[in-house]
Amino acid sequence: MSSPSDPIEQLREANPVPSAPEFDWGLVERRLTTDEPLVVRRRSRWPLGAIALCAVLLGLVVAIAPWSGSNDFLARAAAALGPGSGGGVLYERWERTGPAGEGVRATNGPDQLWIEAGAPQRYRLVLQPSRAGEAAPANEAGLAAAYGVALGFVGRRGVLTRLRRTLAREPLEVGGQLQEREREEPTLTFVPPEELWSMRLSIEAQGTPPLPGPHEQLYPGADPVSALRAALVEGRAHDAGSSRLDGRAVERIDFDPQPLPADAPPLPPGVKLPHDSLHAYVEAGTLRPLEIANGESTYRILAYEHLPATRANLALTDVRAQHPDARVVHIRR
Amino acid sequence: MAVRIDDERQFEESFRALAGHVYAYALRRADPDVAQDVTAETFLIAWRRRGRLPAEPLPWLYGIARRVLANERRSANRRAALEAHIAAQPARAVSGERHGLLEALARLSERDREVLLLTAWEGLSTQEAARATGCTSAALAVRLHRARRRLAQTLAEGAAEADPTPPTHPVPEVSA
Repeated sequence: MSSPSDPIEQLREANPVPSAPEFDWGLVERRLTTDEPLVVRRRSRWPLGAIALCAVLLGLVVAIAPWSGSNDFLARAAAALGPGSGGGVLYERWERTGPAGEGVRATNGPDQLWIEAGAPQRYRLVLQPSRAGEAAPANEAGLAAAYGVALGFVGRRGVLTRLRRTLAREPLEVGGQLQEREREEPTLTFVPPEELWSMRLSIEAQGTPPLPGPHEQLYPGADPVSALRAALVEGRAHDAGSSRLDGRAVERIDFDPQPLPADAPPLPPGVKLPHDSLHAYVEAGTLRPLEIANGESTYRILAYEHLPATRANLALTDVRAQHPDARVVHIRR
Repeated sequence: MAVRIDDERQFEESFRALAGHVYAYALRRADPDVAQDVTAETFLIAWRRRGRLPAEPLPWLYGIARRVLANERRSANRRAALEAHIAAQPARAVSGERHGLLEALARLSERDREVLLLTAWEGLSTQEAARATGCTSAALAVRLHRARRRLAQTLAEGAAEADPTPPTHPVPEVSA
């Protein structure tokens, strides 16, 4: 008998566990019994979201730098934000407004990120506690599990309670390295008063980005600019004209939807493509990014600066340098 | 629509029937011991989130299991474990074609592999697989399309390697 040519059909036939086996529910019951009373604090923002924002910002710089000679606005943007204006450390401060429960939106932050422009793209991220309390976006559950799972594993070592208590009232300060080859580098989380918890919460480990929109296209962060560069080369980013934002003169950049492959299944009714509503506002004079929105969340960029690669500025990307007296605690499962 | 569960009995009534499916998911990707741990951990996380559970929880549970599994693999040299597991599959199989298929699968990125397997092994629809991976249906459709194409391409390359075309020109003899 010849095998089917459709790879999905071939995979179906090769399913090593074709039907659901019995599972001993007692194993679950024992886990529930030994689990401490728990109110998982779900952050409405997680570190990668912010890192993805950085990717968006970096991408934006690229998008309005010199790859599209056909557009006057882009040419001006290139002049204002070309490679010459880049620095050793990118610093950003922003607020995010997004879903925080059914029919509820909340603004959180301001959060901050310092990230090296060059390899290995060491970063330090400071996220404020969520103002939305226990409410969390409905679509976050599975995604937040990535961080929740990590905390769960930490909990086996008996430190979960402390970390959770800390994160509920203190900013989360976390650092690591973004580039692919450095993924095995442990992430450091500052735990007051003076500890740095070293955990392998690598970028890749967090899974694919949760939200539709730019994050998916820009992820992973090892080379986020290439995705937007490609978008620009393909003519999917363009100037959408002048506007005003909070009384300021701004220019809007729209990113066109990514086309489906010609033979892809049709979209379900009401479903939008990634990038469908991604846009950015940049300041008319300086062309600095002011706001990026993806249809679900809006990031208001309060600060966006390239800092020179001085020793002091590079130390801003380094959690360890910020807490030189902190004891490093290696958290292993 | 979110569902709320208040006690363990209600949790068991709602979720016990799904345990086999989650266990099968883990078993397809890991050894039985790890699969048991992953399944129990997945339901522990579901329990912690009992105040706000999705009305159709299975894709959501797969999404959690995927992340639990990722953590498992990472701590124990994730990639090596996965490849070893997939490499072990042909030993249980009787077909060389299946060997080639699983080898091709192992060569794909984790992202491609997962979207293919959620569809083929877990039998999820595009919408369900999107919920399991936390993306839109449209994004999932694009991913699936690309993953299928890459799998087909990898399979074709594997077949070409296994059955090289004979040389079309004379091969010179090499004298000792």
